[in-house]
Order: sequence, then structure tokens, then C-alpha cells
Amino acid sequence: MNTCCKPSTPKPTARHRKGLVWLLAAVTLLLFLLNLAAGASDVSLTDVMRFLSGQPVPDTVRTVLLHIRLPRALSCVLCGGALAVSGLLLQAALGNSLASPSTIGVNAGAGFFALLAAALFPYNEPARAAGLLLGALLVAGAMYLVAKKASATRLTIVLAGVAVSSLFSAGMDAIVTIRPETLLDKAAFSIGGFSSVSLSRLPPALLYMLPGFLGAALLAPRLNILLLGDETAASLGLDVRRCRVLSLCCAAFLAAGAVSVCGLLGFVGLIVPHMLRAAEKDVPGLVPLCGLGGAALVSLCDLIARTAFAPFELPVGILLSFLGAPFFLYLILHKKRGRLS
Amino acid sequence: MIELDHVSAGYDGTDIVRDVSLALPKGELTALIGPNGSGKSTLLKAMAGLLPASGGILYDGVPLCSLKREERAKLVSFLPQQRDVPDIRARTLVEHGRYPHLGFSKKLGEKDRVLVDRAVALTHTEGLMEHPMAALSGGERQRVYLAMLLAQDCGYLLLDEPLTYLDIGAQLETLSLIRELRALGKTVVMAIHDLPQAFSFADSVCLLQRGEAVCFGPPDDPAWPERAGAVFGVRIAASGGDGLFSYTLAGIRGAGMDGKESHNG
Repeated sequence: MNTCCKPSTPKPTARHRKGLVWLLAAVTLLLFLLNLAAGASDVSLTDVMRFLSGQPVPDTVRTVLLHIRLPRALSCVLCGGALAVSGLLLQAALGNSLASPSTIGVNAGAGFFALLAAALFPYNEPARAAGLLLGALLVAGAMYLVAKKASATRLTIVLAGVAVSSLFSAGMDAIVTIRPETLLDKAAFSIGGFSSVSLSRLPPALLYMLPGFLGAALLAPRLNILLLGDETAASLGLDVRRCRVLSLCCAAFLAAGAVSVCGLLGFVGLIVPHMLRAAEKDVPGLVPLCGLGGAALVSLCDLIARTAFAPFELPVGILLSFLGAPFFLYLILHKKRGRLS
Repeated sequence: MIELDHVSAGYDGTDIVRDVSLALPKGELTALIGPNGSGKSTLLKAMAGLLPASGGILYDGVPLCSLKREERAKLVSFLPQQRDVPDIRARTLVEHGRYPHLGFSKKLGEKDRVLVDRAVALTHTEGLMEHPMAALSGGERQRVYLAMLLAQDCGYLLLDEPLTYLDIGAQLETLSLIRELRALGKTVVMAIHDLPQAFSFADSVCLLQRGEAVCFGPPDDPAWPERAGAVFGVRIAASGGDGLFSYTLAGIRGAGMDGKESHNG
């Protein structure tokens, strides 16, 4: 990481960054445990701790934790982290502070192609997974081409994202209208939420997320150089195009993994990198921060969505949109230059 | 030694620089002068390997195109003219100069830190290091960028109008720093608009007109005022000794003189 000073001088930023990582990790862990304990049937935090440490717990508690709460709490952590890191990569690679998997249509692309695959090859999980990734990669690639046009401003990319999202959402409506059996709960899928997650969904999602996280960690120091501007980056020996393309691919992998679990959950990838950039500018430092920050935000929102109106449950996507849409408007209106800052 | 052998370069298939052949001696400060659109920036970018170019570009006899990106970045550094101010601390920017020298993990080692500290000391930017780039003045920012180039530790420095947008004090400060870099043995090629500065600070001057190098030589050649004046469409009077100039407009410049090229710099 790049904040080092002479050994004799204090390093306030480095210490401060480490502190923030630990703080976010602690908050995420706490929210994870609360998510296991909170819900319709009574489970105490002691039961949760006993369950996690492998000690015997009552059978009903065990069933609830293993089949309902644990998949859900894990999904919140993984999807939140993946979406936030995906947003970070998209913002850094496109040099556009308004980019995120939901705002530029990567999520919608993944969703549409997953549905298309489900309609064409019913009950074929690999086809659905391939559709997810293909859709995310296609939209990320299209946005790369849009951004490459010299006349494209940051808003051009967002508008193109809106158009792409509308197109794919119309496509999804069409598929669901013609073949209703492809998607049991269309509203839940397009709003985004965790009410129908199962443990079996997680390993395939991890198959996409892990390479994405790994790629993000490797690309981060290179994205730091990219932020100096294309010419300076190239003069320092960075392969600008390859760095950009690989970052977009990793962002697509992460988004595809998240969409496969929680549907089209929006705004996580927009909000989290922005808030954390106030504390940290260095991309290698931002990768773990965004991963933890996204996990914490989605865990918190899901906790609220499940408990605030109990016994009714709000899809977490609604809550995130209430947070994210005004934030998006604020960014459009106040950050005129839209560069990463 | 930089050798340019019939170099042509441009954008989208249109050559801005045409058939330039030059030999720039090692350890010298060369000023590239010429009207707007004469190809100064394009030539520098081609020399930095950032634009595809036809013809030969050789550094110490080694063709630029035979080098890998990172090898090239260890040999030649380039300071572009227009840069967005990155939202980072000055020290981070200087550390980025070490990028081509770092391994796969891109972590700074002890030697890198020593070189960064040395670059900072040479550019007198110690006091600026903890400030964000956006909080610095234009002249301070330029010094930090030069520190980044020094940390990059290349023998060749290509600077695209490093004095643009600076007030006169900052211009002279930057120029004297560039002279110090040359005194360290760096070969510097610099595009510059201000003729008195070009002629008083450089070891040799190259005049570009519509993409061609029309004149190259030491600044004290008595033929310069007339040649440069003809290209810029002005009358230049050398009023005594050390690079003191005065200009008068030699009538409205014709289309042939002004050129139709709209490309900047």
C-alpha cells in the first residue's frame, strides 16, 4: 500500500485505515450474529454462539439456524461485499463516480440472461449460471465501449445504463409473461432480497465471487495508477486497456454472483464506495473496506427489513432503494465533475 | 542520445507529425517550439511511446518499439500537458513514480522509499508531501509531478508544456528545477511556448512547423530570430545579450502560416 512515510514519522493514515478495517469487521460480525438471532421464532444469542461453535442446541433451533437464518445471513455478507467491490471496480475503471452494477445496467443484464437461459433450458442450473455471467459481461463490455467514445460524459454512461436496464427489464417481463414458470416470484427478483435464499445457492455464487474478489485485490494497485489519467498511467508502463477490461470483467463476475443469490439488489455498489472514499483514497485500501462496508450495509438493511414491520417482511431491495435513490440524485446534482473524488 | 528517423505520427490515421528526423544529444535540454498545432505534443507522445508512430525512434540505439511497457517506463518518463488533479496526497503521487520498478504485488520496498525521498529532496517538496494535490498551487503541483518523474528514475524526461498555466514566478522556479534535472545528467526534451525562455534556458532548440522539424540548433545561432519569426508570423528583435527578445506582429498571419490544423500544441 502506498501511504508509507519515513520510518521515523508517524503514519496517521495507515493506523487510521487499519482501525477502520477492524471497526467495519466488528460491525459486520455483530450484524451477522444479530441476523442469526433475530426473527419470527425465538433464538437467543447464546443459542447462536453454541450453534456456531458446534455445541448441541435444541433441534428446532438448529433447523431454523441451519436452513433459514444462516444461509440468509451469509448471503447478506457475501452479496453486500460483492456488490460494493463491484461498484468500486466499475467506478475506478470507468473513472465515473456514478457507475455501479445497478446504475449502469450490469445487474439487469445478468438477470435478463439468467431468465432467458431458464426459459430456454428449464431446470438447468449451469445454463442459468452461464446466462448470469454472460449478461453481466455483455453489459460491462458495452459500457466500456460507450465510455471509450471521446464525447461520452459520466452522465452519458448513466443514461446508457438506464436505457440498457429498461431494455432488459422489458425483456424479463416478456419472458415471465410468456413462460411464467421460469420465475416464481418476479417481484422479489427484480426488487432484490433474501427471502428465498437457500444454502445450495451459495457455492455456485462463490464460484463467481471468489475470482472477482481475488482479481479486485490484484488490480487495485493498478487502478491507483489509472486514476492519474490515461496518459500518465501509460507513461508509467501500465497497460491501460488491459487494466480497464480486466477490472470490468471482475466487476461482472462479482455482480453475477450477487444477482444469482439476491436478484437485482440496487445501490449497494454506488453508496458504499462513495462513503468509504471519504476516509480512504487508495484503491488497495478500499477493496477490503468496501467488501466489509457492503456486507455491513446489506446485513443491517436486511435486519431492519425483517424486524421493523414483523410479522411482515419488507424486501431489502426496497429499503436500499429508499436509501440509494436520493443518494444517487445527490451525486448527480452536487458532484458536477463526476470524477472520482 | 535520442534518434528520430523519419518519424510520422498522429491520431486516427491522420499524421500530425510528418517525417521528422532529429538527433538529440544525451544530457542536454532541448526546447521544442512551434505555433499551436505544429505537432509538439504529438511528437513528444510518439517519443514517449504513447502514440503509434512510423519511422524509427531510438534511445541510445535501442528502438523504442522493441521495449516492453515497463522497460520503456524505466527509460523514458513523460509529463503530459493537461492533467486532471488526482485526489491523492502529494507523497502518494511521487510514490506512483516507482510503479514500473515494482514487482507483481506493486508494494514499495526499502530502495523505492529511498529513491522517493531523494526525489522529494531534489525538488524541494518535503513540506508538501502530506497535502492533497488539490490543495497545492500550480507551481507546487508541477514540482511534485517532477518529483514523481525523478522517482521514476529515467534517463530521459519528456515534458509537454510544463509551464502552461503557471504564473511567471512559478514558471521560472519550474525552469530552474528543470535545469537542475539536466545538471543531474538527465536528457530533457520540453515543449515550450515562451520563446525568450526557450532560447535562454535550452541547450538546443527545435522549431516545428505544421508537423515538420524545420530548424534545429543551438539557441545562440544568429539566424534564429528571422527563422522563428517567419514561422510564428512575428518580427523578433534580439535586444542584446542573454536571450532578451522583443516581438512585433508582422502583419496578419496568412492562412498558410497559421495552418488549418486545430490540434492543440
